[in-house]
Amino acid sequence: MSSLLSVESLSVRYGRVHAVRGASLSVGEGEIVAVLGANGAGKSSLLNGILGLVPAHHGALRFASRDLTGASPPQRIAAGMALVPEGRRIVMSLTVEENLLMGAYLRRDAPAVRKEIEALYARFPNLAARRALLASVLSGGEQQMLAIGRGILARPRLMLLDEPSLGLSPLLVQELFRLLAELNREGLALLLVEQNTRQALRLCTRAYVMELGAIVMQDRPRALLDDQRLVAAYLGGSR
Amino acid sequence: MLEQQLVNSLMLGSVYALIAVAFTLAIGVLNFLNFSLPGLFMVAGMLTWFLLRAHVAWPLAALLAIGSGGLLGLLVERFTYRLMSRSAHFVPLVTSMAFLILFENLVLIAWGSDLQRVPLPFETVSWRLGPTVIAVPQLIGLACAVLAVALLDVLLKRTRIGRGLRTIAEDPQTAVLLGVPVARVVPLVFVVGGLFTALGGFLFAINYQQASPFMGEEIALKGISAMVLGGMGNIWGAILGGLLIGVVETFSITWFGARAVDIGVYGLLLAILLCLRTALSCRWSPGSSTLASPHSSRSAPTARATFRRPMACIPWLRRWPRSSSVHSWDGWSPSRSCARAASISRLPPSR
Repeated sequence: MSSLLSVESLSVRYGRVHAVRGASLSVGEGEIVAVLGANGAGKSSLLNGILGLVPAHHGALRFASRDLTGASPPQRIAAGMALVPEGRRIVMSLTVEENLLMGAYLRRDAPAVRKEIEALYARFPNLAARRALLASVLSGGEQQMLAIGRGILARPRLMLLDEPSLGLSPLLVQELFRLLAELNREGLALLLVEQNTRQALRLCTRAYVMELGAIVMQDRPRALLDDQRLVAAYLGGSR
Repeated sequence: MLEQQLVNSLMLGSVYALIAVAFTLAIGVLNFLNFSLPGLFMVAGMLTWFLLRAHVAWPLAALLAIGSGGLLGLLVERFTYRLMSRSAHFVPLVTSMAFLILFENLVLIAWGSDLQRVPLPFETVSWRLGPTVIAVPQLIGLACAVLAVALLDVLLKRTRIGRGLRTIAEDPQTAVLLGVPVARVVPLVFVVGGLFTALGGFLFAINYQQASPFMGEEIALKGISAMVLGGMGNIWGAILGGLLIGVVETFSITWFGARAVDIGVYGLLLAILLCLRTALSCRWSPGSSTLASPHSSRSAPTARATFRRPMACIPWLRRWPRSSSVHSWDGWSPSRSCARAASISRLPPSR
């Protein structure tokens, strides 16, 4: 199996707190992988560890058949990763367009970036209408689109998404997941951390379940949906 | 007479403005009050005197004096800001202050404590407009100062690195996750700040034909006041504040005598801050040239937040693991969909 990203026994520590304990996972080319788990299970730390935002205490990471274990975030981004962070982290004092340009910070091919920005505007007309305005005027849904657009402009092969549906209305969540499926059809692999378990399982091809910093389960979404333990723990009873 | 004073004060003000821009850049991007800047101002001034006395060609002297600012700025970065990420928040502040004292004392050891007379490298050319005399070097100095700030403005607004700096200014961690090599971009703030103060020191030495190891201390408070007046993190505000302080200082000397000059300057600062309750630029600013700041962009009344910042030479990393939904919703938005979405986001998670 050709895997795009493979993480082996990654550990992330904040001081004496073990946020991630020896997590191993892989994402194949063009796959959608979900990481599920309760609050504080270490999902965000896992993503931050994969992008190198927090130094890995232990473990190895290969991406696109390169060893990136000790690489800096710019090196990992240049290699083809992009993170759409929790809470979107839009830069409010920059305009919408400048935020998009920040996504392409490491790219040197300005004309291509220009073209891709125009393509993004065609996809998100709301952003196009506000391109010259400060990003702080955007609504939550628009901010999420901007955060994803910013991620796309890094031209990644793998996009890491941290709770993209957080704070969005049910309607916007639907729209978001449609967008993610569309991006995936265009060849982008996704590693998705979600609390919206049901939606995530409907979208993904494989899912991991994290608990207290460790990966405790890995399966096809169908099987996980049938798993009574998981349903009880994360889906809140029968529905 | 009045016009003459105005011309003189604009020159003095442009020197203050350069210092204020350097201060405001460090505060705006790094939330760091760089106390070593007046030291760089003094070194540049003394170096100008030394080189000109040694009959070095004046363009070369200018280049060396101004370049020294950039170089020393880099040195300060290594020993203050680099320490910042690992140490308590007051360490870099104190370290930068130590650099000021260190520079002063090194110059004292090398060249003594006398007020030195800077020889003029060229014949003074001046224009007469009626009764007003405009010295051409003054004019060039003023033009240089404005040009330098205009260039900085373009750098910040139009270039990739400028966008990176503004992102660092708002949230360093976001900059990191977008791939900005923060450790390589940050020294730029110190180099540019150093170049600006050194340009100020050079212009001061040339125009007033004097330099002393203590000239930095005298200018430090004026520069900081100009920065505060202009709104911290706002480069055009810093220019405005610098020019205003220059004008007030010159006119205080004319009207009240040299001994009352500081009363005029700081009295005005106090009066403006008390009456307007805000920095000038918060009212009049060409808005987007304000660098940063997470506080002002997220909470509505910017002025108070701006004033909280000087005290806040607090580790800039403190903003990292904060729950996020707050900051996305906090910004005002007239759109109803946003208000609706915000109300949804505040509901407890549905089960």
